[in-house]
Amino acid sequence: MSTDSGFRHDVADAVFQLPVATAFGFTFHQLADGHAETHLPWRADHSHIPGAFQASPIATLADFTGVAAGVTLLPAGGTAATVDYTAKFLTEARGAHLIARARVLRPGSTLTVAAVDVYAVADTETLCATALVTMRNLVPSSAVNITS
Amino acid sequence: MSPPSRIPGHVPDGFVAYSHPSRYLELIGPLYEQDDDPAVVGLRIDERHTNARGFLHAGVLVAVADVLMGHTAHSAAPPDTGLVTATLTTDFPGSAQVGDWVTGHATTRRVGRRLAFTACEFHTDDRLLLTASGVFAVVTAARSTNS
Repeated sequence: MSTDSGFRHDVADAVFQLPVATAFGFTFHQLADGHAETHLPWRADHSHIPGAFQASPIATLADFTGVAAGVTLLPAGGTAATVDYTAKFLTEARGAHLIARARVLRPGSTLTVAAVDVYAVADTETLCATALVTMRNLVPSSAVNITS
Repeated sequence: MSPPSRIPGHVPDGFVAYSHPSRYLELIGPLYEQDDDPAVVGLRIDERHTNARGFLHAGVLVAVADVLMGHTAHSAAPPDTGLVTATLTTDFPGSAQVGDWVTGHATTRRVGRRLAFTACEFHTDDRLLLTASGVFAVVTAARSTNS
């Protein structure tokens, strides 16, 4: 499957407009074929402790970014819904913001699999979590979700 | 007119405010718990939780599952035990929409000296939305930031 920059803009616009993206404060910093990078600045409602993120917003960010990477490889208008999601939390996520970098491992016709690494950024980047996301591809004729 | 089960903001009888409030839950909640079992929680899906078509975003439910499993394991652990999430594994057999009342039920499988093992399921009506398992690491209180 392939896409073009116009569709990637559509993906970015659609994801940016998601209420969950606004509520959590996610921002896109890169979107390319099979790749996505999002950032999440630390906020008080992301944590019990200043400067450290809870696992929950990290988990949400990883799912969000992995699905966005997968959708970039679908035909224009394509969407995806998460089927399964596994995350490993490797160390405390302490920093001013998080960076999630997702890459598609396999763009299948029915399912797409993406890997996501999440880094906590202080003076340097620290890999704090890694996730695998499997999503069901929804082509325009059967589309029900923008992303999930 | 919407049936009572789908009225925005409606909380079914038997549910009360979640007993572990946090700023993060204020962001994604309000979350409720069953008044006789805090391992059962409820969430009314609204626009903040969904994609542009009104379907519940998987990442939101993952976050709620993490919170529920962490607190359920914590309640089964010895006093002063701190837990941080080590692993989350989730499957999504179904979907929910704006207005749905979603309930989750967590169980603690084992709390050891170093690790705690939990699982949960989320439903709306009779539909299974999510199954999940979580492994939590026991840490000192100063580092227990995730649960």
